[in-house]
Amino acid sequence: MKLSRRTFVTASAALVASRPLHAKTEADVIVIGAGLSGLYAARLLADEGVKVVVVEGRGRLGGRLESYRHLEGAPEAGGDSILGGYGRVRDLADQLGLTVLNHRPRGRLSQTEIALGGSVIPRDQWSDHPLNYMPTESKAAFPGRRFFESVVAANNPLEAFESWADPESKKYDRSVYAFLQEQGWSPDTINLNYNTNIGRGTSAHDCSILTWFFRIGWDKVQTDIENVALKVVGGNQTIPERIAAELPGDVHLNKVVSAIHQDAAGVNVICEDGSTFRAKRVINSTPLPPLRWVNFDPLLPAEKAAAINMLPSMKINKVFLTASEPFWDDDGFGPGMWTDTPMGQVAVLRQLENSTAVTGLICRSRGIMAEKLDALGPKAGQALVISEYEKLRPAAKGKLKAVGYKSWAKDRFAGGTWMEWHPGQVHQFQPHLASAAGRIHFCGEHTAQSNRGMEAAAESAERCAFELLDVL
Amino acid sequence: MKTDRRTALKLGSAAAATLATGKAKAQANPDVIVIGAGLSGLYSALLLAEAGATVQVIEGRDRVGGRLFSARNVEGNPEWGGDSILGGYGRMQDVSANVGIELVDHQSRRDLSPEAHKDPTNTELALQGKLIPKGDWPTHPLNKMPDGAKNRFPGRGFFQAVIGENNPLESFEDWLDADSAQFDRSIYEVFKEIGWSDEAIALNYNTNVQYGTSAHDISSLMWFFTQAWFKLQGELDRVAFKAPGGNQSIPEAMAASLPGEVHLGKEVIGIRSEPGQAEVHCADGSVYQAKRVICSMPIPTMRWLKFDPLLPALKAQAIATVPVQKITKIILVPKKPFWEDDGYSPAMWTDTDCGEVRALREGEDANRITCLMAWGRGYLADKLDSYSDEEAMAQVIADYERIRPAAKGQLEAAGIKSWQSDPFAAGDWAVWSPGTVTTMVKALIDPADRIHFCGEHTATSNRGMEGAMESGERAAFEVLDLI
Repeated sequence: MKLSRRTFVTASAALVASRPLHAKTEADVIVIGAGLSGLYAARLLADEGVKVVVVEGRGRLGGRLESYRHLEGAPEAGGDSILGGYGRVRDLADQLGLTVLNHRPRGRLSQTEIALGGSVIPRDQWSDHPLNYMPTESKAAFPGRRFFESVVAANNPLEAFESWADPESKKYDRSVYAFLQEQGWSPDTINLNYNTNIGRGTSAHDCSILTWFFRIGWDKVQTDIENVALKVVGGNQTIPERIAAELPGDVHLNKVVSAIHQDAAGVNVICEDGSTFRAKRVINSTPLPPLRWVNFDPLLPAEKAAAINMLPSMKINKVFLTASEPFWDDDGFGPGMWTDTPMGQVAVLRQLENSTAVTGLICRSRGIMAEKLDALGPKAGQALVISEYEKLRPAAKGKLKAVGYKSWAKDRFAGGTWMEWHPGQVHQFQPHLASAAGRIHFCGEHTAQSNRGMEAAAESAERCAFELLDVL
Repeated sequence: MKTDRRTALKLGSAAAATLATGKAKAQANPDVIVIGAGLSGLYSALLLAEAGATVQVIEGRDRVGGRLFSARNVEGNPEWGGDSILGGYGRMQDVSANVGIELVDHQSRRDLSPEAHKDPTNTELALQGKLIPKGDWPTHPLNKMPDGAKNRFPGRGFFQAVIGENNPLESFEDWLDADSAQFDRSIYEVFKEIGWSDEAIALNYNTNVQYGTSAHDISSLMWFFTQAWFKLQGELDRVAFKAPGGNQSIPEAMAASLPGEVHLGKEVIGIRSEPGQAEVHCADGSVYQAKRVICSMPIPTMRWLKFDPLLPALKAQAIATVPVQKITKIILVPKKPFWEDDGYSPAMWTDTDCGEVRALREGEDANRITCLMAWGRGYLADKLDSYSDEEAMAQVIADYERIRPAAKGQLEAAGIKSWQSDPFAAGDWAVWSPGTVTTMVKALIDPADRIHFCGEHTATSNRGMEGAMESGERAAFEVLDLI
């Protein structure tokens, strides 16, 4: 018998099965991924009477919305703030009957300390401190992202942030480093303000300034609309959970997709456990890294495959700490710190609905510092974070406990947080991220054009749902 | 009190630093501090000591050897890291002899259980979860080999031959010449020009990827260099030497033959260059001072160092951006020769989570297979790294058993090594992505103030262990000229 390509593919799927093969599900659309974008797309399609099945690799819903409910006030391991301009997400929260709380004022209740070169630098000593590499006219400014952003804002050539992906913007698709050099920043200034607790990428060399031009313009709109940072009471993960609960179709958990095979009439989605789902169309809402392990037959178009292979993802690790007593009252510094250690930036959590009491600390380790924690592994990584904190703050000795940990890069269903752009990649790859490949359509924050974060996920879901309604 | 930059940037912990500096000053400072007790660091230290310089080697791990690391819990000490000492590895062979190690040639054993690229007949092919008998391959629906090569085994052996036929370099050492910059582009472009389909590239290059993570992110120049260099190794002497007791024995013997002790457990967190001396600060608060420093640390681990003053811009950029190869290996020990039951070789080249499985013969009896080693590379290494060690080993065994029912219950995992999850390596060798050979190789080599650099990522005429040795030699001579 001569196997045809088609029968071979089906036969091998059957052979791979270690458990009995599931009955094939015939649906109009299979949505891969039960995060915000996938579920919102499923909701919009279901509202139009489309038969949708959702398959999710994890044992839980929510994707990069993950609320640590074992901790007081359910702090967020993933997507944190619903900003003023998040029209779709705010509307969705309303529809789902969720209560949101504005956390913005709470963020200003305690002072963030600067800790560099192994010590906390008291604020009144910062301007004259030998490690102050701020530009001459800005010696008193707090270093880091906000300062960097103010300089980008003052030099942002984009008239409207949506024009970032236009061909005319190509000339700005170069490194943050090159841009900052033109602003007259020294390597020390760049290192202090960009590379320390890095906002995007792993260094000023590997991030496109164009994505910042977009980001800064977009951020401003968020605040102009309403200066809030909303969070769902009970955790942002409640949003995708409620969407799933209201869906008429099934959401299958623990379905790790290993292959997506298209033919003239439909698509087979084959899972690691041997089960196969079939539908006319597929929406893939997963981030790029897990797609690198999926066997596509036929292969995705070359540019799209290259984009999936090459585009990096932001690395962020979070360590949640609780303090047995308020040691910061002893040494007089705020518990929040902006540091150059693997601990990264420490923020104060005040997560309760009816009180602004401190519920814990969250250490965000980003870029290469996240890589360091990942190389050490969760246990040694958390121990290092506590020891770095204690080194800077002897008053904290013995009073801190790590109660939660998250590495997004090591999460195999995410492979990082949001998608990033190396210099030059916006124009090379942006046009290929959202485009459909045959019967496979793509959503997820990385395919959004005009938003970031949760709102980007929702925007992309909407675009994708309409795309499907046109072809179904 | 006004603090200056020097006291402000303590690099390590304050109190401990002062204390240790005091101690260090009680003894005379050495001429040179070598950071890292892998091959390159130790070889530079040996050469400097022979030339009469005083040297102190410090090492972050609690063992010497770096990326030479032998699995001594497994029969015959298979290698987690550097594996074969090839025909052209002159420095490696000399040093081994000098430190009293008699190398053993494993080439004949490898010929019995060859890697796919040497003799395909003894490695099985398994795609999409199914073993494809050799006879079925030429007409198999998953055969995406280029026309005229349908009967070839896919992967490195095949594409390396194609690279050999299309290699524009007259001598492999030309790879760094200005004229070669035109070839500093992706191997994907080269394959496309040769006429390969995307499917052929995905099958031959991206599956069990050797360098990089896909054909897009690797410079063809790296392959032109490597292919010609490999060819020379075989021409000089077709051998694959290994040290009895494992290759790690070589750096161990090198360390033992140094005049002073290697200080273990010294994780470096910062290096300062000053007029007249350099200072190396460790996580435990100790500080070493010397006239010069040789830093043999791999690229990713240097990203975590504080340099005072900052490294020159291009060098800092190279350290920040040059990627390293991702490799995760799992050793599987068979309880019985299950392959005799199904008649296939235990070695397999797959597109599953087992990656490429090699059959190793490391015991007294050169014919007996002692263990299997599954290599996960590139994005497969990422996947394995996202599991716990136990889950990853179970996953690889499960995939192997799915392809080979005869192996069911017959494989036991003896260990896993993810080089990415090793905080003193954070990956394997340096990988040159398109455009970086021309811009970054030299930047990585150049000294900065009182700091000199070695390690395989700074070699220009060799790869692997011999690359490390070459770079150690170059750094030692660089320093000898200055002290």
